[in-house]
Amino acid sequence: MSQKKLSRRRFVQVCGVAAAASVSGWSNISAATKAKVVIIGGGAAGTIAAKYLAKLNPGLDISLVEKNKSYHAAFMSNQILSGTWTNDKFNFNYHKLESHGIKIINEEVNDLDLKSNSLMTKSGKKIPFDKLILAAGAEADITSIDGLTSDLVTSNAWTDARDVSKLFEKIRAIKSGGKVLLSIPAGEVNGSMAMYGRVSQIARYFSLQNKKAKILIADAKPQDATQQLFAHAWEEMYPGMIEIQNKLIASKLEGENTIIANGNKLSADLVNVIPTQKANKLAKLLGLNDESGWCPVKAESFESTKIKNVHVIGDAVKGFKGFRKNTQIANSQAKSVAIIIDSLLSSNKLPQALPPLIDSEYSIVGDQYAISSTKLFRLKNNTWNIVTDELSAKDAAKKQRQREYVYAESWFNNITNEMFS
Amino acid sequence: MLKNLCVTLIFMLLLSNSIFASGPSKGEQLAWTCFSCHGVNGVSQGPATPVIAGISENYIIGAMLSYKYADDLDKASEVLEKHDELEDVRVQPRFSAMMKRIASVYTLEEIRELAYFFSQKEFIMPTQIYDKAAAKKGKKLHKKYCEKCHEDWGTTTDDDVGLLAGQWKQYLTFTLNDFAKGDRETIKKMKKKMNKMLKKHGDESLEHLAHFYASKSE
Repeated sequence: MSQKKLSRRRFVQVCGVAAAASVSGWSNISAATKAKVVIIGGGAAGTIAAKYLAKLNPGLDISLVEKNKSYHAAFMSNQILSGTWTNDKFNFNYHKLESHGIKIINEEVNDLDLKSNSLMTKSGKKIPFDKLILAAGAEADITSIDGLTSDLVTSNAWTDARDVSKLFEKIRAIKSGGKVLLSIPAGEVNGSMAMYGRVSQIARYFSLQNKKAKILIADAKPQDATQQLFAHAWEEMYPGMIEIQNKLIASKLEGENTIIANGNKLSADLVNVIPTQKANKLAKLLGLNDESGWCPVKAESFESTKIKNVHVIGDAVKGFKGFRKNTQIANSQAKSVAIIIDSLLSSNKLPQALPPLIDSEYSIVGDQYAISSTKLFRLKNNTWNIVTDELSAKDAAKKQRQREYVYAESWFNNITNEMFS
Repeated sequence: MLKNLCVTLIFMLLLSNSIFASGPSKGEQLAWTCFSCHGVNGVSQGPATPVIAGISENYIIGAMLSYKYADDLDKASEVLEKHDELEDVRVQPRFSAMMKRIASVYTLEEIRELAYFFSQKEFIMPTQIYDKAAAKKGKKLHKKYCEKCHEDWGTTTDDDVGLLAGQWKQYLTFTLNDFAKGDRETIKKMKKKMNKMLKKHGDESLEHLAHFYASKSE
């Protein structure tokens, strides 16, 4: 790498300014004016965008703005609820990203100044950028259910492994033969199979420690193929423990143990509500979301259709047809956006081709038993088209389930290593 | 001379912007997609997804085509016949938990770029737990049944054989079992040797071999 850089510098010396000027985008390569890329959010999308931009062009000035000093992965954290994985497996920090030349700015974003292309932070800091990437994820829409508060959102544990650990304590405290009620919203959820993963892990715990306990799923959606596959797996692993009711829409919470759904009162020893999700509040603050709650972007660039030079990736994106919200597709989008931004900064052009996007989720059902769903997308005619869409077969051999079980953990180890090493 | 070089370079730059791109190649960018499961640069953190860094180009092309055309392997052979330089690539029925879904969308051109990229990366052996007694038995088995093709204790990729020494044990166990049960096909002489070993030493010989290769991580 350094050798190539040297030869480039030598080339300029020899050939002079005129030659350099003939090459479009030369200016940002020279050290004097490093292009600034600022990324908001240090999760599955933000860390990867930062790292791969640094790989593409070590000369870029890359900042990752993240309000927290540590990261507590939500993905796969349902494993905590069966007691099979512990909280510490989910804790990471950003130190190693700095070794790639990425600046970590632990600040909370407050505003966007479009005149000076700068972010403003709560503490009054101004962070200028040439390109901005919003990778701030999703959050609960608190207005979606009557009686929902931010405290209740936290205790329902959907975004932070530490909250899931607290939920596990509550599950352990449930009386013998007690009942858990899990409410699932109609809209898109980050971790599109994770609510069923949660049911699986609670059931896994009950099957060992509280055999007569029951789980009721109040799912606002009609039954789909994914739910059917889970229902089939649960019958195999936890017969009689789990009941599913579809098109049951939670509208109100009454205290901690009761919800009103379709006008009926439903109570349990533990009620776990997964609320409707929307893009992180920063999306609205910066003017990037639309009425759907998510941020519309152009397929070929992930650039916001609302604000130029601002790109959105990860859970906050308003998906193209077939997109789900999960860690793998966030990772995949982040790599694409790195390629896109590098290309825009160096040549003012979009890249000629992009790698496919992978949207994939593993879900552990029980010991030596996991299922998964994989979709791949290709960019064609300015949109992302599904080229693969496969769910584990209902009648798959034991061997298949077992492999997916160990591959699920391997995926977690590799993707977190990719993010934080 | 410098002037000539200069003219040539400007000409090349005008022709293509990418000639002087010092960054990752298109093949590498394509390979990034694989990192989230197979590890950065193909060095998997385990415990089951195999390390694919440092594996032979032909081996990777063969594996990918076997997955891509899993439902019709004749098609893969047809594709290969059009490329003399790929004559050593072998396609064979291969059990797939996941890769069939993914390999299907890649073109031969892309598969070759991916294979080249990973073949150039260093195979870094993971640290893993293994059973010493089992590894000792595995060592004897390897010498007797495997060493002839998987030379130097399974550390080489010569003749496009799979890299065994230091690979993740869980993956080796899966793969050896696939071979033994016919869920993955292989060349005749390997099948013969394997059957001989299984007949004499039983199913646990597969496990012993896996422990031996895992022990090479040290």
